[in-house]
Order: sequence, then C-alpha cells, then structure tokens
Amino acid sequence: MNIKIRVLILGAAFACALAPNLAVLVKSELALSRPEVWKFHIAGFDPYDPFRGRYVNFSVPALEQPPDYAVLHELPAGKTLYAVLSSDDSGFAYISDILLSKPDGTESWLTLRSAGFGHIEPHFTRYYASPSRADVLDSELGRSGQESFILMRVYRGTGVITGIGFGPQAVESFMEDEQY
Amino acid sequence: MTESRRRWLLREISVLRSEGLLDPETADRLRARYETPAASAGDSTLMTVFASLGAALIVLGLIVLAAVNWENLARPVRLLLAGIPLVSGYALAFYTLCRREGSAAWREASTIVCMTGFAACAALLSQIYHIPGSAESLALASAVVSLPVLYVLRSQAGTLLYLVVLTVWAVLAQTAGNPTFIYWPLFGALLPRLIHSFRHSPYSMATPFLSWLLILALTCGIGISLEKTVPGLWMLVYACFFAFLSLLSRSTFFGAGGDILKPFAVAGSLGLYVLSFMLTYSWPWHDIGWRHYRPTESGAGIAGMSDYAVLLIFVLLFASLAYRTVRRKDFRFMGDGFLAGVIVLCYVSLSTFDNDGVLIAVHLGMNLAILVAALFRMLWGFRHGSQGDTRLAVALVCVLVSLRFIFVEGFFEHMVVRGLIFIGVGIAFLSANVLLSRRNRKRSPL
Repeated sequence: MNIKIRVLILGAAFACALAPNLAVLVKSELALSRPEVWKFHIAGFDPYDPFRGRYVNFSVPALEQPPDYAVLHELPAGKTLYAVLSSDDSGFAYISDILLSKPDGTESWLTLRSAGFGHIEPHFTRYYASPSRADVLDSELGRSGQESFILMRVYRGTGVITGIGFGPQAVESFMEDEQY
Repeated sequence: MTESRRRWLLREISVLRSEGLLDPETADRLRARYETPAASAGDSTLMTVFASLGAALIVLGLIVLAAVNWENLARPVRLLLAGIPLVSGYALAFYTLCRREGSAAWREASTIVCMTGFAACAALLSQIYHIPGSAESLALASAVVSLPVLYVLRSQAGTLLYLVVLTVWAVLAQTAGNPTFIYWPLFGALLPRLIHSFRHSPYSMATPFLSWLLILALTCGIGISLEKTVPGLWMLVYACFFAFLSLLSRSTFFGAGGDILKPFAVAGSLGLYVLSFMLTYSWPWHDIGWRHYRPTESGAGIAGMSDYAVLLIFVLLFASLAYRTVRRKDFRFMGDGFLAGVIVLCYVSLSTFDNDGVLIAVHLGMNLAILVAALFRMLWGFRHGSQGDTRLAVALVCVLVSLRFIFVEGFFEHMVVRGLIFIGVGIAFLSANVLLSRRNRKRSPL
C-alpha cells in the first residue's frame, strides 16, 4: 500500500472520528442558542447519597412515562419517535403529542426512542457535578425533598441540560444556568 | 534476531568448530556476521513499549490536569480541551506516516494516542453536555474508528488494544442484553493485520502477547457472542475451536514454527481437555440439541444465524487442518482432534436420540475418549522422547481417575481406597519418569 493511499485512508479515518463528535457539538450548541428554557421534574435519586462518581443520576417521569398515547403502545422497543413539548400552568414541561415523523412546525420537540409497553427509553439521566459543588448540591437535595427539576434547552430534537434546581426556596441559589 | 538467540548462535559456532563440524573460515565469517548486535530487537522493542506507554500517560495526565480546573473553565475552553486529544492524535499519526514511517516507536505511540484521543474527546463532550451515553457504545465506536489507523500505521500495540476494547464491548453488550453478533465481523476485520503480524514478525517480543491475547479474546468472544438458540451448540463451537488451535500449532501457515506457535498448542490442548472433563458430567447434556430450539436472548432474529455461521467456520477450519495433518502424518495432536470428533458425535447422537440410554453412552464415550487421547499422547511421547507429552498424558489419566473415583460421594470415608489410589497415581508418575529416562539414555550414549 503506497504512502498516498495510506494518507488518504488516515484522512478518511480522521473524518470518521471527528464527524460524530462534531455532530454532537453542533446540535448541542444550536440547542443552547435557543432562548426558551424548559423545566422538567426529576425523580428517583437518593438525596442522602445521590452521586455515583461525579454525576447526579435521575429519571424524568414526564419524558419516560408520558400520558397514555395509543401510538406509543403500538411501537416496538427501539423505534424512534418525536415528542412535542408543552408547558403546564406551573411552568413544567410535558409531552403534548407523540409523532412518528419529524414535526414540520416550529414547536419544540425531542427525538426519543420507544422502550416498548407504552414507555420511552430514558434519555436524560445524568447531571455532571464537580466535586466542589457536589457537597452543596447534596445538602440542598436533602432540604428540598422531591421538589427537584432540571433545566433544558431544546432545538429540533436535541435537548441539552443546562441546570439543576431544588425546591422553590432553593431555586435561585442553585440554578446553574450561568454556565451555559 | 533477539539478543538471546544471537548469543546462543555465537556459542554454537564455537562448539561446532571445536567438534570439527564447521571449518575455521566459515566459523569466522559467521562470527563476524553476528558478533555486533546491529539492530538489537530487544532494545527497539523496549523503546516501542516505552513510547506507547509514555504517549498514553501523557494524554491521560493532560486530561487529569484539565479535570482539576474543569469547573472554572468556560464552555468554549472546555470544548477546545476536549478536541485536543483527538486532533493531536491524528496530527501525530500524519506526521509519523509522512516523516517517521520507519520508526516502530513513533508508529506505536501515534496509534495509541489516536485511539485514546477519540475516546477522551467523546467522553469529555458527554460530560460537557450532560449526555449519559454508555460505556458499551463508546467502546464499540472506539474500536471501529481505530481500525483504519492500526492498519495504516501497522501497529502491534494498537492491535492488542483493539482486541481488548472489542472484548470489553462484547462483555458490556451482553450484560446489557444487546446482540453481540457483530463481534465476528469486527474480529474478522482485524484478521489480515493479525496474519501479517505473525508472518512478518514471528520473533518479535510482542508476538507471544498477541498470541495469548488473541486466544483469550476469542475464547471469551465465542462464549459471549453465541445467541444460544440451539442449546449446547457452544460445546461444538468450543471443541472445534480448541482442536483448531491445537492443530494450527503444527501448521506451517505462518512460516515460522517452534516457540511462536506454542501458545496455540498449549491453549488448544488445555482448552480441549478442560472442555472434555466438563462434558464427562451430566449437567451440560440436559435439554440440548435442535429439539429444544428457543428464540434469541437479545431478540434480534439475525443474531441466531450468527451461531450457525460461527460453527460452520470453525468446523471447516478444524476439518481442513485435520485433513492436512493426517496427510502429513503428523500425529502429535491427533488425540486432540479425536476428542473434538467424539464431542461432535456425542452431541449429534443426543440431539437425535434424546433418551437415557444414549446419555449413558455419551458419559462412557467421553471418559473413554479422554483415556484414549491420553494414551495416544503417552505413546507418542515415549516414541519421540518427549517428556512434556508423556507427563501431560499421565496427568490427564490421573485427573480422570480423580474425578471418577476420588471426588465422589463417600470417598473420604474410605481411607483405604483413598490411600491405594494416591499410591497408584504416584507410581504412575514415577514409572513414566523412569521409562522415559531409560529411553532417553538409550538414544543418547553421552
């Protein structure tokens, strides 16, 4: 194999290695550029020992067990679906419609996958916290109980978590959106 | 040539000259040729290992340093740091290809940086954007992306790392209940590289590591990737696989023989005997065969077909090597081939006639087959003066006797029987030693 062919192959390999990472970066940055911020209730982590390693593990009930949609029950596991988002009266997000093709309008929607039996595969499960913030977050989790939520910006199917909040009293102290 | 072999050759030249087998002029020419360690293989291998380790540690160290100040960095800076391992790895690879292509140290180090750089970039992006991801998908992506690099840079360290990452992916995927049949195409993609390594660098220090890692990866990969739609198929696959390894060690396919094929001989024989001993018990033979067909564990229909494809490949490989071995009249490992054949026969019989009579025949057959294989090896060892083969054969018989008569219920109560059996086993070992020593003394008057 002569040197030119090897250089070409290496170039193609570099493109293949760079492409998925660039795609993640571009989609996420586009989502972060959106002005609208969505709030989702989170649940399922232990306030006394919420961290595995250096991240908070949680579930988002609104995205994993949405209201009963007939189309969801018919979907096999692993099938891609498009969840259109709306906000309720208290400002928390929920899935207002489930579609099998990309929405045409300007609604905010997330690309998710069916887990079968009317459920959606968990897609947002972690919030990475640095060690110095971990202790503070831990104590706030204990104070706020189950009133916890994540903040997310959404663009054409891609959602990026931008912050985590705990309880109505602690919200202003622990909104970490300034990082984004 | 390695340093130890060079010194051995110089010693042999002196011995052969003193015995009059080599004339002085030829001896002097040979000594002049090999006296200076021109390209000491040991030193260059050490340099390569140090270069690879050094490169990997530098990448990891930079990541750790970045991690200390991570929370204080703005997002654009974090993104830049995330991209550096990937971009610098490939930049190094391009430089190596264009300017340092002849240096193994540069090639190995560049490959390692490329492979670790991709994984580091993906992991850091996941952390920045809070993407959960999974270790399984990261391992698979890292393996696929690094394949062209290790071919272009002809890297052995990269080949080793690829095998490790592929096996780790298979374990993670199986644990998560996902199909693992693509293990085989991914392994197959590495085959030309492996064959090239064995044929062109048979005496490299990395070759034994590569051999053992290859055997380990395949042994794990077979067990993990089988979808088990037809119960018990693993017996056939493993039997053919280990017999193939054993016969491969006698093959001339790689050009060089001797030590570099020893891992295949050891692993093949050992694996086959362990499998055979397992199959002398009842539990593997319950509810096996096509009558007990079941859906794939992962739910992927095509995954079941991969079991048959893997079985067919190993059966064909084993059969072709067995045919060539018989034609060459090289009977050293024919006992291993015989064992594999008996396992196949037992499986087919029990699958076809699933009743107690056949089960008893299978148990007896497996025990007899091990005994026959051991006796065959013992006779071969005596005939060719091979102490290793003879002792192994005696050990096999002793293990068989132990499993059938010692490690059974009620044995420990019968002390007389215990004592007699231990004495018998000890006599067997000592007798084998005495007979071999006598035979070797007869052959070598010195």
